[in-house]
Amino acid sequence: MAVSTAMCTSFKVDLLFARHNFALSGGNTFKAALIKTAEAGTYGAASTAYANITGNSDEATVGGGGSGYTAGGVTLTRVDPTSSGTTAYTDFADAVITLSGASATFASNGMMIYNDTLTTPTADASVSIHAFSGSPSASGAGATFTIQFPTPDASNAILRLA
Amino acid sequence: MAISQSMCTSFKVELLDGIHAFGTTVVRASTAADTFKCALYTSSASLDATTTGYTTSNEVSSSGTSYSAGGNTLTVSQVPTSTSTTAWLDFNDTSWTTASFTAAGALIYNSTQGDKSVAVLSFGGDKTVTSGTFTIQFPAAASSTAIIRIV
Repeated sequence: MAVSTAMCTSFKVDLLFARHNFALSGGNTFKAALIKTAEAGTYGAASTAYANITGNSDEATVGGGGSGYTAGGVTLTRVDPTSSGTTAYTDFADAVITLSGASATFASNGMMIYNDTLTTPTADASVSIHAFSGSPSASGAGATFTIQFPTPDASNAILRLA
Repeated sequence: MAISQSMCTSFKVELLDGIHAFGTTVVRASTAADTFKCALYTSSASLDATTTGYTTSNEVSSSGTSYSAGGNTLTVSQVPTSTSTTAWLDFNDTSWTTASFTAAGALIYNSTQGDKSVAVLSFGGDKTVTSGTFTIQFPAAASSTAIIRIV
């Protein structure tokens, strides 16, 4: 189906209910769940939760008997929200997946950032969907798959309210 | 001085910090919705996107005007919802009766969270009421017009 980069609409509503906290100190836990290639589902602004991915059996896995990525995804390191001009934004530290196993293979078409702390009204509520260009991959023991977040500023940061 | 219509930049940051709750299904220490108020200001006020909180500076006088410092408490008429890809909410119109004053703008702020600012409303000039009712009529409650929208 398709992966389209978007801020999830449900996330915008959640913000107005004070359901997400990106603060470095005391904030929620946010994760990046990676979507496999040839995904069955459609992911974008209408996505609402991590369960959208598991419901379609679309989470990426490490092939070739290897390891390095576990279901649920990678825990992200938060950066305090701030502003520049009239735009508020926040960022995450780059996340690295390191493969184990000589024949390990890993590839992904995109990812969902979601709030792993939230249990109600929607568990693991989605924040945003990010489509990867060209289905990046890694293979072999020690190979790394890096989620590199854009420059944290008012024009490029991964999450911005303009 | 000047009053410029704007969503306060500090409010946008605070949304990301989970500070402002316009509805009751909140996920934080307190699960109650916050109280939002609307204060009125004269044309001498300086209010814009950089405004971070309620101030009494150049607020409409409460002396013989039927206006009380801090303004009116707003009622959320539409808790946060979405249409297409826009999230939005709305307040009921708010009025001051038997009022006599002149105001050029207003500040919506969160009185539960240390009077942090939400938005500045510019009336486009002085609006005067004399022994009458002064009403702030919020725009139509829809994704393209509602007073608070995240597009």
